[in-house]
Amino acid sequence: MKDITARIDFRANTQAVSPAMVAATQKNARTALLKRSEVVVEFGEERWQQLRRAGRELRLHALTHLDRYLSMVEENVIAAGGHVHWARDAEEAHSIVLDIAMQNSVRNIVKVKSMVTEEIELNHALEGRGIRVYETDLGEFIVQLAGQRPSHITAPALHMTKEEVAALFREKLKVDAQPDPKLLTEIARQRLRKEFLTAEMGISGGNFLVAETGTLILVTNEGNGRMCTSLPPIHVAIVGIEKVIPDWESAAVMLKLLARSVSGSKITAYNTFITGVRKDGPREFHLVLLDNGRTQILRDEIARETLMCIRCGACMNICPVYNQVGGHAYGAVYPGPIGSILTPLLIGTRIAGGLPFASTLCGACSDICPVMIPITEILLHLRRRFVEGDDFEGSSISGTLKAIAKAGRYVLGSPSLYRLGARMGKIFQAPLRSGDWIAAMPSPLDRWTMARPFPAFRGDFRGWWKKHKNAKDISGGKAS
Amino acid sequence: MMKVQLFVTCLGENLLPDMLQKMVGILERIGVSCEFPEGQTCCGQPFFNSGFQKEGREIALLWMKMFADTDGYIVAPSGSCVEFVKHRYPKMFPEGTAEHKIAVQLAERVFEFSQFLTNIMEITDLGAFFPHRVACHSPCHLTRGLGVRDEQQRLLRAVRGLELISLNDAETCCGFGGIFSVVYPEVSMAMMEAKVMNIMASNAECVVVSEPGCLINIRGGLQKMNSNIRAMHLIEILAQEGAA
Amino acid sequence: MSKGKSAREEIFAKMRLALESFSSSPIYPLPASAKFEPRVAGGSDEEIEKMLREVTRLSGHARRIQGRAEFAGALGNLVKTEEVRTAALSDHPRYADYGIVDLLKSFGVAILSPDEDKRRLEDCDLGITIADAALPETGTILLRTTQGQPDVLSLLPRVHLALVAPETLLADIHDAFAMAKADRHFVLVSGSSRTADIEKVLTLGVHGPKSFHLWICD
Repeated sequence: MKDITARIDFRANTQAVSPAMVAATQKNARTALLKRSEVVVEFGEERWQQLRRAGRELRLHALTHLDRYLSMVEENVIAAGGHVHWARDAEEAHSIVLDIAMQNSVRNIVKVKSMVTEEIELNHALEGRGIRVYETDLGEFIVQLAGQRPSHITAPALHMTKEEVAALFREKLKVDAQPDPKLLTEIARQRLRKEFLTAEMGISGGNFLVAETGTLILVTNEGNGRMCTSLPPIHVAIVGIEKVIPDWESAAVMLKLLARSVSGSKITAYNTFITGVRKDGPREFHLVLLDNGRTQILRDEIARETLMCIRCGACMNICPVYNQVGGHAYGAVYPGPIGSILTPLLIGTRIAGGLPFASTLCGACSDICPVMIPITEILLHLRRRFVEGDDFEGSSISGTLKAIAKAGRYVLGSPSLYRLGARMGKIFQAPLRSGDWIAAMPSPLDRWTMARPFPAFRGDFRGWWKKHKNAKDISGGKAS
Repeated sequence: MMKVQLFVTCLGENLLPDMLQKMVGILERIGVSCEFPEGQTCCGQPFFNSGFQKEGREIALLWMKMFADTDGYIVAPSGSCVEFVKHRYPKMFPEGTAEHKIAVQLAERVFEFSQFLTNIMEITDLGAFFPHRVACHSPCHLTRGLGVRDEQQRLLRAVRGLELISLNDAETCCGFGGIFSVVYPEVSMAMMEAKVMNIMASNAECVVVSEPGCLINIRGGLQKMNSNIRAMHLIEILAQEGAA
Repeated sequence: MSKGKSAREEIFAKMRLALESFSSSPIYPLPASAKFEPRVAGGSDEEIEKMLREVTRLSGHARRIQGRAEFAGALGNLVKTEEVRTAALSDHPRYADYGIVDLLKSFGVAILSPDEDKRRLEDCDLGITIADAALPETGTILLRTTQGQPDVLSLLPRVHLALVAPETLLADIHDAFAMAKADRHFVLVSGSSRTADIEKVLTLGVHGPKSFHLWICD
C-alpha cells in the first residue's frame, strides 16, 4: 500500500462507481448472507454464538502472547526442515522473496490468492525483475489480466460480468471465449495447467499458522492452492504475524467459523496443512513473517483487536455503505468495515482518515464478525485520532471544521444560547420554508437538502410545557 | 406515583415537538407524572461520535448536571440518545471519579420510550386505535445498540385495527448516521432511497420510525418521492385514541 | 544473514514493548472460554447417510457399496461413464481388499504409480485414494499425504475416486486433527473443486479434478 500517498477521497471515489459495480456487489452479498443464515440456523444460533465467543477468546489470547507463539512457529518450522524469514516492511519482504527467486533461477511463479501479498504489492516487485507471476485463483487471474484491483476480499472479480470476462479473455489470451462461466473457467484451467507443472516457485499466503506444530493452513476451493504448494520445487508463504493461532483445537474453531462466514458453505473444498518440507513435496519451504505496521497496531489497546480478523468478508457483505459503493471506493486493498479500520491503522489517518467516517455506526458488522471484533468501537477510536490526535498520530482535521465544532459546543453548552439558537433558526428559515419543509439550504447544509428536504423548525415544546404544567398545577395534578 | 424526567433530545425538541407532546400525553394517561429539566440541551452524541470526544464529554457533563439532581426514570423517544447515555457515559470517565459514579447512576435510570412502557411499566395496550397497514423500521441503535427488538411490535400489535405488515430489510440502516449524512451525502441518499423503496414496496400506509434522526431522514425521503405513506414515531400511533 | 537477524530482533522487541502495555492480565495457557465442544456422532448408519448427503451437497457423487460384486460393478460403470483409460494408485495396503488392480486390468485400464513424472499424472484419467478418515458433519475426507498417498494422486487426474471404510468415520474435525497433526502435510477434501468467481455461477473442476466420487465401502 506504499503507492497510496494522496489522501483517500472516499466521497470522490463513491461518485465514480458504476451502477453495475453496485448491483454485482449487492448480488454477491445477498447470496453469501442468505447461505450463511442457513448454515448458522443448521449449526444452532446459540451454539454459533458460543463458537464466536471461543473464536474471539482464542484470537485475543494469541495476540496477547504473540511473541511466544511466533517463537513456537519459528522453532517448529525450522525443525521440520523449513526456513523462516522476518520482514519488517514491504521492501524487506520483496528482498527476501527476490533473493530466494534469484538463488534458484526462478523465471515463473504460480501464486495463490493472498491479501497480504496485495498489501505489499509483491507481484509488482517480482515483475519488475523480469519474473512472471501467474495469479491462479480464477477471480484473481481475471483481475490480474484486467489490470484491476480486487473489489472484495474473497470474491475479487465480483464486479465483472461474464461478458466482460469473455471480452477480456479474447483480448488478452487470444482465444475464442464465450460468455459462459463454465467455458470461461475451462479456459483458465487449461491456460494455467502448464504453468503449475513448470513453475519454479509457488507463492501463497496463509489463513492460519498453528503454533503447536508450526503448520501453515490454506483454505481454498479451486485446487490451485494445492497445486501451487505441491508442484513447484520451492514454496514461499508470506503471512502476517497476526495470523498465529495457539493449537489444533483453535484450528478446529477457526475452520468451523471461516467457511460459514465467507459464503455459507460448511467447509471449503480443500484445506491444506503444511509443516516444513516433506517427501513428494517442494524441496524447500520458506515462511516469510511480515510486520508492515502490525506491531504498531498491537501497541494500541483498542485498535489491536483489528488484528483478530480472519478475512472472511462477512462485515462487508452486511455493510449497508459497502453495498451502495462496492470495494474500489475504499481506495486500498482491504474494503468495507474491516478496511475502514485496517487501512488507516496501516497507513495513517492523515491519508486514510476519511474511511472511519464512511460508516453510519449501524453496528451490523460488529454483530456478524465471527471473532467479535468491536468494529464500531475502533471506528470511533480512529475518528478521535483524526479529529483530536492521540499517542499514535496527530490531528488531521481542518481548522474550519474545528471552528464549527467549537461553535456548536459553545451553543449546546449553554442552555440559554441553545434556546436562543432555536429561536434564531425559526427566524432564519422563514425565506427558505414552504409549509413543513425546507427544500434547499445554503452550503454546507445543502449536503442534506441535496438528498431530501429538511423539516422546518415548528412548534415550541417548552412554551407548550410551561402552559401544560401551569394547567396541571391549577387543576391539582390532573393532566390537561 | 411513578415519576419520569423527560429527556426530549435536541432533534426531538426542535424538529418533532408534536411527538413530544404526545409522549407526555401517553405517560400522564398511564399515571406517570412528568418533569422536564429545563437546562437540558443535547446528550453530546453528535460531537463524540464525530471524533470530537473532548467536546462530547463537556456536553455530557452539562447533561449530567441537569439530570443528576432529579429522581425517577429518565425517558427519551430515541434509542440512540439513550444508548449513548447508558453505554457511553460510564466509559467516558475513569473509574473511581465522581463523574463516573454519577454517569453510572444516570445510566441505570435512562430508558427509551418503548422499553419503558413494556419493560418498566409492563403495559403494552394503551387503548389506541389506528386502522391502517403499518410497517416498522428497526432503528440501528435501538435494536443492535440497546437490544430493544420486539418491544415496538408488541405495542403495535395491541393497537386496534392496526395491520402490522412486514418490511423488507427492516434492520438495514436508513443512511442517516448523524454526520455521515453530511460527510458522504450521496451515499447517505442512496441508502435512504433503498429504505424508501422497501417501504413503498411493502404496501404499507404508514411506517413506524422511532428514532428522531431516522424519522427526519425517512420522512424527508418519502416527501421527496411525493409518497402518501406517512412516517410516524411509534408515539404518534400510540397516541391515536378512538373507539375500537 | 545479519540483515535478517536484526529484522527478527526488531520485530520481537516491538511486540514485547506493545504487549507489556496491555492492561488486561495475560492468560496462559488457553482459557476454557476459548474452547468449543466437539460434535457428538450419531449412530453408524445415520453417520453414513449424513456423509453421503453432505458430499452430494458439495457436488460430489457419493454412494454406499456393499460387497465385492457391487464394487466391481460400480468400478466398471465409472470406467465406462468417465471414459477412463489410465488410473493412478499408490501402495496403500487397502487397495488389495477391493481387488482394484485386477479389476482395473480387466477393464483395460493402464495403471500408473503416483511416483511417475507429474506430467504423466496430469494426463491420467482417474486417481484412486483410500481416505484415512471421513467427517460426515461436513462431507469431508482426510488424506494423509505423507503416508504413501501423495497429494498429486487426488489433485492432477481428471477424476478423483475416494474409498472410505465405514469404521473410519469420525465425529468432529478435532478427531481428524488428532490423527494427522504430526504429519508434515495432509489435506481435507470436501467435494469437488469449485468456484463462483464469475457472476456467482457455481462451476466445478476449476483446477482440481473435474469430478469427485466417494464410495463408502462395507
